[in-house]
Amino acid sequence: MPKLLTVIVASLLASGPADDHLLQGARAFRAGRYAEALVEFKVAEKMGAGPDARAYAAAALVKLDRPEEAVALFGPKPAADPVLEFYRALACYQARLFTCADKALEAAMGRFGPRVAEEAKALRAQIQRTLSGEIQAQAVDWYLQHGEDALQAGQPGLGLLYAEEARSLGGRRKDCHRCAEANALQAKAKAAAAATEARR
Amino acid sequence: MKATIAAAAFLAVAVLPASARAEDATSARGEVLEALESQARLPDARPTLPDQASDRAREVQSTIAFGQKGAAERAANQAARAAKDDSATAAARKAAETAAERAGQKSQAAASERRAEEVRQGLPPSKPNRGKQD
Repeated sequence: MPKLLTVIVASLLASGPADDHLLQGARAFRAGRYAEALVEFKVAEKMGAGPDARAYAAAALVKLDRPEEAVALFGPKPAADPVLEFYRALACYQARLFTCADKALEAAMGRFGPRVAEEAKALRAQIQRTLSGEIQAQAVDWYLQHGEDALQAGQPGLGLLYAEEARSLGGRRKDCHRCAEANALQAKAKAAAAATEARR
Repeated sequence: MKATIAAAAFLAVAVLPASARAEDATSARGEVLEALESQARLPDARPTLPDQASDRAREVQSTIAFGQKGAAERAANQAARAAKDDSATAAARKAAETAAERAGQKSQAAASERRAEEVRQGLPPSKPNRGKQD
């Protein structure tokens, strides 16, 4: 009887295999081995580590310079942890989704640790500089095209973000360049995102 | 007495490990977040607002001049030649930057810039520093 109890207690005390992969991923990430970290976090997610693991994998994608995949993996909702929100902002920034990046940083600004807060501040300054000039019509066209492409590729979340960026940038111009089209694309992307969500 | 021991054992199995497991999960997540925080920094490349026309122009320029997978090294030579003509200086720099970006070689890009600058100043371009760290 005591032996059996010991075995049960020991097995229950042992950390789950998903956590082992999270820890392996953390070590790899810290060492700059982002491809390895990505695999570990994805395995952890498959083993039941939940949506957190997905966000960690998205952070690894940011480091691997695959921002669009990272944006799609982060999903539309803000991350609970400010560090993850910083990475979501980075993903948006690298995918040229400047408004998305700035919104994410603004919302999490008071919650960062001192070092990340400095980085976030610098990133916001860069975004402001990028958006300070005149917005060219071609830029808006580019976002609309990318939004359509993302929708066609079955990535409505990403399509929505591009449509929002197109609307935001178009709205900064006096002629509100292709604002109506951006609105229509937003609606289309939202409907597609809702349909995808319902299928899950 | 036996019932008390059994109840204590049950509590030990059911309650304590559950909290321990929760702690483990928390510490694993804590480890990951610490690792993420340690690497949280801005990327070297600064994306700019897209411009479909110039993006396409750069694509064509890169394809014609350097081939689909043009390397920064070839861009440097091209840029250096173009840099002899003052009016082409900006185009040369842009060509070097574009191809360097494609090759993903930041050090080569810096070397490209340096060599283009050397030519602009009338100096012979320095040779590529192959296999050595800057």
